[in-house]
Amino acid sequence: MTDSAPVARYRAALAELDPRISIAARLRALFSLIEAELAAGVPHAAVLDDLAAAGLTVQQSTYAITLYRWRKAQRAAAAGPPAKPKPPATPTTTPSAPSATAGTLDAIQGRPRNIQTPGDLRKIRDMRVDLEALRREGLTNRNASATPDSTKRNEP
Amino acid sequence: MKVAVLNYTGSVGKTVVASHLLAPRMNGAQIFAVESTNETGADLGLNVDQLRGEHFGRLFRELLTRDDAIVDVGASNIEDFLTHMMRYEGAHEEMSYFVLPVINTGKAQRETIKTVAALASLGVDSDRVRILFNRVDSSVEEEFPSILAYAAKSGEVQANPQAAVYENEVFELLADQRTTIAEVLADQTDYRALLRSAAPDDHARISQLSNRHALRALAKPVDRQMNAAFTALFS
Repeated sequence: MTDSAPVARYRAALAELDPRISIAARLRALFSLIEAELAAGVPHAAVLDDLAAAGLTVQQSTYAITLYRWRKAQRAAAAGPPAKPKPPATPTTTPSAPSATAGTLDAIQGRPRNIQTPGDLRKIRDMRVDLEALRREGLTNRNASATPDSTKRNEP
Repeated sequence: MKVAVLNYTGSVGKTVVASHLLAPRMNGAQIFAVESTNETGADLGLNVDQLRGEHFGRLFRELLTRDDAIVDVGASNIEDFLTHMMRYEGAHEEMSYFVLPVINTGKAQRETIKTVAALASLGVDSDRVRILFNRVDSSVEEEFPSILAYAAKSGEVQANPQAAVYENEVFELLADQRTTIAEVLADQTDYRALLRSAAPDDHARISQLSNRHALRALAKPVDRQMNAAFTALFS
């Protein structure tokens, strides 16, 4: 039986690699080929099948996270060297006395207040979570407190 | 100790956490997989009792009679699981801890925060909700600042950066070979000698032997790292 075109391409690319490198590294080496398949409309499940046929069996979770990281690195490379750090979006006039919940409340929108029914519980799935706002807030707090103990637990 | 492993989103490593991090360090606790569609520990070659979300009553009764148990709640069943937990007064108190594995994709982090919010709204106190940072590339602080900020601000969850499992292909190899770290560490086979004596054109055998050899080299440090992660998770 002959390989389909994508399988043959994956197989040829894999043959060029050092067999001692990790699965993720092998996967990264194939991503330019994989992106071309995805751009042509090939579903992720079919890509995984083709990779397996070419001799690279990868779990869906490994594929997903490696693809995510690869795309992130590609975006970072395309954006060039990082610009000067942006000023914080929130005022920092009194960093020693941050509002207890204001930032978190800004970052989380649409959280149901009173959970009484399974329907209320399901509405939590519709919450909007702004990770970037949380990240900024976390950095601000870290810089403000500047405690050396990074493992300190959050306190209720 | 009874631990539920859950997250609204899939592919964060719940099953690997249940099978490779928790079970070996919890007296070989029985794993109950609440999962109807995705991979469970059974697919990894482990003895797993498989249930669906609607079988919560049976699960609840099973948990009452056990000292140690792990409940691996699949993403396709978590809504059913939480809904049933809502119906049984005090059901969540049967679990010592709720462990939420998270990986550093945006979706996983957002869904983890929603899972924390759901548990908090069901009355689960923050000390029993724990984040397990999974598939960490280099630094929890660099890769999960939003989760750490949410934990610090909301007080709904414990997020210890030391409770981390680092990216490692050992889990892929373990799944592929349907084995566990404990089995790998107990294996005394001299794969180097077998590789030397294998026929050069027997690629399948060479690949299999190479993987077993690599597995054993990877397993020891991973086992030590998992011990540290387990201690940090429940400290």
